[in-house]
Amino acid sequence: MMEHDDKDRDPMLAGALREAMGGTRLDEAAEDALARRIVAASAFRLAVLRRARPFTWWEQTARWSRVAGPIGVVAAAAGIALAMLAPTEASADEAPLPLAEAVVSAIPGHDALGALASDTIWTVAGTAGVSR
Amino acid sequence: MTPADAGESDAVLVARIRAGDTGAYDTLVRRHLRGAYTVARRLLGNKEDAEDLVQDAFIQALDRLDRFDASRPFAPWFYRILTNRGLNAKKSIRLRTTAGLHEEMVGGGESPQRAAERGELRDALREAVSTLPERQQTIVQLAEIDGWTSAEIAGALGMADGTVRWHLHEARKALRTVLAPLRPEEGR
Repeated sequence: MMEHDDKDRDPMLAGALREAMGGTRLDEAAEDALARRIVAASAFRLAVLRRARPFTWWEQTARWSRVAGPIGVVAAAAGIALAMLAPTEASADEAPLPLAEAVVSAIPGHDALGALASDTIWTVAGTAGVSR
Repeated sequence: MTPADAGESDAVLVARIRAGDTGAYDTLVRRHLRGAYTVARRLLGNKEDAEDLVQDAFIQALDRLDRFDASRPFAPWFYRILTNRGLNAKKSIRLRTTAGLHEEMVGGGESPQRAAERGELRDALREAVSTLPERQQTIVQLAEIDGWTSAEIAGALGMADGTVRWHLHEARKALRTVLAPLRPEEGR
């Protein structure tokens, strides 16, 4: 460290220099105007930086969520519709429906026909060798 | 400027500026504007050129921000840009002879003799300052007129503290020599 430091200040020299060279203070309004001028002159460069920067993970998520939301809703609706339209599968413990019974049950309003119609069919089916 | 902005470190602001944040840039500019203007004014001597230099330095810093090492302090890096551009500008700018004239110097109410003496002192000092090396001119003005410490000047000009002190010592010695014949006025 050198021996001369800030305590070496000379008030007379300082005063004379100030008078000769002038002060440097900007008033608040001038300072504000200069700051605004600098920021305005840099606006284009800042805009370029905004466009060039990589997206952060939360921005990526937000962008995808805008698309993923509607897609999810549509997919869910389609899934529900398919589930409702698809034929019900027999459960594992249920015996497979015999052919004759399937034929009977396929007749519209077979319940209303009553036992008569049903027995007749079974009789015909029995002659064909089909048992209940 | 919000209080939160005011409390953010330069490193945080720089990170935000790299993403194009105008508010962060505004805060950083205002934080360093006064010091930058003081250095610029000392380098170039007049308000208009100093303002242009400060603007130029901030824009240059923005252009080079991708090369700034964010683990280091922003101010010395920025002031190095400002000083280098200021020294280059100084070479190309023809300084007006009235550069540095300050309102307080045009004070009324003093006798013609007193005004002449003051004028003589001003001219002698300006002449003496202009013969100093450029860095010394800036250093002695920042120290004596603006009250900056050698450490602050070292940070701003990107120099070692000891080097600044040596320049300051040399500049003071030279200026005191010039002032010596005028010292009788000291007792007034």
